[in-house]
Amino acid sequence: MATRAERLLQLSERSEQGWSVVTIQGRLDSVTVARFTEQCYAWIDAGSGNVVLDLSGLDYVSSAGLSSILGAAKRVQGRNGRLVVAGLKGLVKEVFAISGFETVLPTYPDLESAIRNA
Amino acid sequence: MVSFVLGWARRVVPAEKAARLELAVEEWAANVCRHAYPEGGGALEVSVRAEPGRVVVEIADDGCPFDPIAMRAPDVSLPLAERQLGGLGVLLIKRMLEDVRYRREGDHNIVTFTVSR
Repeated sequence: MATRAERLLQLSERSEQGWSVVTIQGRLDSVTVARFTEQCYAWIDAGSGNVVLDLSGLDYVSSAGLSSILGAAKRVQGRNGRLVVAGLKGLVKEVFAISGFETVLPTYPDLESAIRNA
Repeated sequence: MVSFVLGWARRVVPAEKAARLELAVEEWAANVCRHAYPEGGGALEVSVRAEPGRVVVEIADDGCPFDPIAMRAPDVSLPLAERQLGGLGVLLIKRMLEDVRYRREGDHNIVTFTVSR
């Protein structure tokens, strides 16, 4: 049976044109953040360097989630890679803007433009 | 707790505003858990009042005095390597909601979040 964190947050990873594409859907909050951190950091450590976080299916993020995304970006940078973000919308876009994350991390309107232009 | 507040909020205000309230409640609860009780656990009391056209959420704790209104905003323009996340939760609360109030009553911190339709 799926745990609560698994129901609230869906994660997947695939390789596309040299990028590791991490898709995050649902909610990234105090309840689900540990699961995201564990899984995403494992993908970063196993990957080849550059990471796109596809957030087009993310409905909610709190500062707990932001903190983990920042940690992920630093981890990727530590491996001489880049982490970019695609598909911000609604509340998530607003949270990124208020927190200054749109200036800290390169952001693109969708996955396609991230892979093409980043 | 957050879903309890959200359930009430959705009856009164549009989903987009209910989500802002939800975020504020999560951030404040996280803040209380992290800072209010340095010596261990303590109380957190949440009440929701649904009035015509608005929702009022009051959250009380009896931990260390902490006024979010007086808190200085963190510098959100720093580059990646220098970014720290302290204070981000309170910044989000103040920017997401139009009406945030704080009072110290006896041994209690009480914050009030109001969201109108």
